[in-house]
Amino acid sequence: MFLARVVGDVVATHRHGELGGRKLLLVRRLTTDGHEEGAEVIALDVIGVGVGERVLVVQEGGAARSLSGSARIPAQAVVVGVVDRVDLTDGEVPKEGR
Amino acid sequence: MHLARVLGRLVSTVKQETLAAIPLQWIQPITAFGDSTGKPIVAVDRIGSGPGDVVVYITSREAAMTLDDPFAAVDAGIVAKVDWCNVRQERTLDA
Repeated sequence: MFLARVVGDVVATHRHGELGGRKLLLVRRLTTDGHEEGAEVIALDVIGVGVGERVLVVQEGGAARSLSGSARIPAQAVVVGVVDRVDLTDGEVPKEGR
Repeated sequence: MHLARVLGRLVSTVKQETLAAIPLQWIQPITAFGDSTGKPIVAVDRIGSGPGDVVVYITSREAAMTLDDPFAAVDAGIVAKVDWCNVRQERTLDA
């Protein structure tokens, strides 16, 4: 699992049948000082999150299958939680990047 | 899952049997702003995309879930064709 920020979503009407109508979120991994890094990862939304929120992303097909309720869904990454706070030994991860 | 742009179709006649009759596309991973990131890869394409299209692809074991045979010998597969992306207030990669 990793900590990420929701930066947007992907609009795709022509998609694999097993993917269903689920929202595809664009998320970016966060560093310990709260900065976004790397290219966007596309994750399924099963809880309903908004742009700008810090979230917990699980990147494993088995989790995607059980959370979506579809045994054949071609998906890997799923947003499974909204992160309120991350405590570190020397403070906490800032919400808006240090 | 990640974004990529389709570079072109790959034609292979002699293939392992789980790959028979499955189209292959050469794709370049990109960011939501269209910049290339990393090296191009080959992905199976069961949704029908073409050169220049922006797609969502999946890697590793789950790539086989895009095909009828969940044990097919693949490690990347295209799952959706992107109309556009909403990145914060901006609309990107608009087809």
